[in-house]
Amino acid sequence: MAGPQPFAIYGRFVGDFVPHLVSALMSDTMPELAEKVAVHSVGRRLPARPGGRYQVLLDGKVIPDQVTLGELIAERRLPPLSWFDVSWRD
Amino acid sequence: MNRDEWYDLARDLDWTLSYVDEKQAFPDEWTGAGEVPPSAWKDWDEPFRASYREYVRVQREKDAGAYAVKEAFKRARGFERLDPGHQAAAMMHMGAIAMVEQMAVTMEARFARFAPSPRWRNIAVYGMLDEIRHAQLNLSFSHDLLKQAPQFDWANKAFHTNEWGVVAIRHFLDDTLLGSSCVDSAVVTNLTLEHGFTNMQFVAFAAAAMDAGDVSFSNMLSSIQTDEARHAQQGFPTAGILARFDRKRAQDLLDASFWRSLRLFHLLTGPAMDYYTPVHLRKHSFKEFMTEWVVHHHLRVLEDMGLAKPWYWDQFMLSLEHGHHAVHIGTWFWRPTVWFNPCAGVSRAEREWLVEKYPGWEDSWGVLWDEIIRNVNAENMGKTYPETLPALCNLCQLPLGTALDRHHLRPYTTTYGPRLYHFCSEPCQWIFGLDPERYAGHMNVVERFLAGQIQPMNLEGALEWMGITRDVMGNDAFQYRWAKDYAR
Amino acid sequence: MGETRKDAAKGRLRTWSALGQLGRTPTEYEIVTHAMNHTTTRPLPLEMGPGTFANRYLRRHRDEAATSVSDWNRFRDPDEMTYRKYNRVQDQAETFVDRVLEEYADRRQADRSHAPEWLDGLQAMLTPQRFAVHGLQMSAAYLAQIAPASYIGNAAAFQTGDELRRVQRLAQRTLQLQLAHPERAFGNTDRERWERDRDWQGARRAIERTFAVRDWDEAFVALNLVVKPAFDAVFLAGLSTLARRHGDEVDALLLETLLADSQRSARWSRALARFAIEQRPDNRAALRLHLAAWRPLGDELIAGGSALLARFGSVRDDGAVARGALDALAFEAGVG
Repeated sequence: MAGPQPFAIYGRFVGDFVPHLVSALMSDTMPELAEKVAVHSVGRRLPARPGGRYQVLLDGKVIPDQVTLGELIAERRLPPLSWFDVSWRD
Repeated sequence: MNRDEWYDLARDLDWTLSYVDEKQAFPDEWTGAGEVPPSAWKDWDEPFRASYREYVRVQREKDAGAYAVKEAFKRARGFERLDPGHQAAAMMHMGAIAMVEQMAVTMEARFARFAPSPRWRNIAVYGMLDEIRHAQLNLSFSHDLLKQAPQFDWANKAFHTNEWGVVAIRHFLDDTLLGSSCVDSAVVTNLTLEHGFTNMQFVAFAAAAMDAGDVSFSNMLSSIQTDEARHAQQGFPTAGILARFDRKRAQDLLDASFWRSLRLFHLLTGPAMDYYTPVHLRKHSFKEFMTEWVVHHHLRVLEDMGLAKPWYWDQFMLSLEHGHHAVHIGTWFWRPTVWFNPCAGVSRAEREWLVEKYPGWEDSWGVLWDEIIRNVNAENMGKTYPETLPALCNLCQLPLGTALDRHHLRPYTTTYGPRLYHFCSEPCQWIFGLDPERYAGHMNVVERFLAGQIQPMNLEGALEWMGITRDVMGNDAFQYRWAKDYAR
Repeated sequence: MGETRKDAAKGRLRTWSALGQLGRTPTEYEIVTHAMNHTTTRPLPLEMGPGTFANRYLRRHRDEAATSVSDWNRFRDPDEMTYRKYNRVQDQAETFVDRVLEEYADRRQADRSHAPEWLDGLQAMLTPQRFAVHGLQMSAAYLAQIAPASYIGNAAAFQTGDELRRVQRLAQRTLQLQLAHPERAFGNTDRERWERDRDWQGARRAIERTFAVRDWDEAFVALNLVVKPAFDAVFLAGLSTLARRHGDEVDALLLETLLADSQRSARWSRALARFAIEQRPDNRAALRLHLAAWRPLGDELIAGGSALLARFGSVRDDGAVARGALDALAFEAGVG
């Protein structure tokens, strides 16, 4: 099930002091998810990086870009408000 | 007539019940005796003694003084001339504390009815009256200031709202003051919270208020503190008896209450001391004051009772370094959701002070503030506001990440039943684990939002749900003037 | 007005927003008492899980009690008691008692001149009251914590203070009598009498039964409309009269003076019952149900107490007088 269904997560941009409530969609790819998380920190409390790209980590492991949130949820049986990390890819 | 000669005649008044079951008269949920045998309570004794006759005379005189100062200050209309940082601290204090005093009336009434010692039941009557005094002094003071500042309405209104800070305070204190047994309440409240907290929030704040020129507020706080010393006595004998007969319970209770109290201090006292108090009036940092007045005192208390330091001591020391800075930047950033104007407290001069007192401050917090400052100076104000809720701890209700700093931020989760619970720290997680049934049914603000209780599901809806009206909605106390320090 | 139009336009409040619809300037009493119980205005009283003991307890024994109105914050204590006023009033009252005790007991050594029969009476009726009144103190404290509004809880809290006052004055009298008559060991037999004397059991049973009460409205009726007024009618009013008959001015004056506290309790209790009935007529039936359950215990208390008074020379029909006082209170409260 990867349609435009909302799914709430806690998203922490690495380097910020607090994770945020993020309403993502099941159909979100990792870059889309990363953007939704990053917007609350990058350019607000952390400097933006021109040309910088994000990556998503779950339990410390980078998730490939093309994976959707819905696939991840199904595979790992993630409950709502699971913790996702987003960081600069470098 | 020497009071000591008749004192025991007025308080050794237990008798053997015949017409009601002992358990009916003293249900354990309210009494909290637990494993402590009934005979142990005969040793309960408090060093402070007062006769009712002395009480009403002394308190009448005290009030005459406190209210006279208040009246004089009211006529002088001095409040509006005070530093905006101090004003914010006063408004925050009133909203957060006035109702707590009234809750303490109920707690003391609980002691007066259900405490397992008649001596304790008696002393609680004074405690009950004292707390009425405090509630009414706070209300009287705040009511006088209504015309000048609508934020003081929150002295009466705050706890009727769902404002997030109030929810955090209530989660701790509704439980401790209104939902706990006498034994638990006395140890958590009298012994830990009152002795520790009031020394800072009241004594230190009184001094700061006086320095800031707020004579009336200072006088009121000092006057209140003279009562605290008396009824906070109830905690010592209770904890002592508990420690003798149920050591683990005493240790766990003290450890849990110390951590929860710390989180309350992070929310209220820390930001007020290190950010709202005008920098030239700051005598101690929050960390210094905590170390001198609270830490040493608490460790002595534990030692006296033959108990150990809390298992999380290292984390506590680290949290002392960071927690309130975290809550502060969070409160400031989410400022529309509070009923007073938070003071950013990061002008160049203030920043120098912060760095001196907290050597790691630049790396932990300065980096974050720099981005905010850039946005302010670029007039990108939208970026200085939040667009969502922060993640919240299922125990202390404060944002995840506010027990330490950004470098130590990591998840702490527990799955209990069908739900996933998040915690800001290992101690909060541990407290949950001590009695999951006590906490598991509760929904924090994020969970209520997700459940659709906040409508519409946006900032407007959240503000309305929190009871924040336009006239009190928080903004920077100095209208961002401090950012000019950094303008190119 | 909570706000004039001008104030509203400037965002200024003249009083608490919660008092906004008052239509007049609030009194100091209202300013410091209004809406100070934050747990009564929400479906879940405490910021804890709904299934926790305390939330269930408050909902069951307070919020879902049979006696209910739309807003208990509209109740007003006729004495408008605040902390400041309480200490002013009681400091004055205590000054009077100080003088009585100094004048009669200390200076005039009145205790030494009592007849043995009256000393027997004091040992039987005065000093053992410490236990009974401690019980009244406990139940007043229960009312203070379970009350559905701060206007009610505060009144009950001050009543609790009154009982502490009484216990301490009784303790002082016990000491004075001990010093005047060391051979009698005043105070030493009090607990035994309270537990064993046939004529004390009515009072003990009534007071101990109040410890089993949980619902706030039953706690109110049981204590403030029955047990306390019954006890005070016998052991304050009745005993005061008897003391005077025996030439014991100290105790007559002391007990008389303490009656003022008792009357204050009766005033707000009458007002509360009337308020409840005015707001919702069905409340009358709920209150009367509790009254019917508790009156027999009150009568037994009175029977035992008046037997005690008779044992020590009372020629009044103390029982009838006390029962009459209970009837009058119930009638004036609208539940008679």
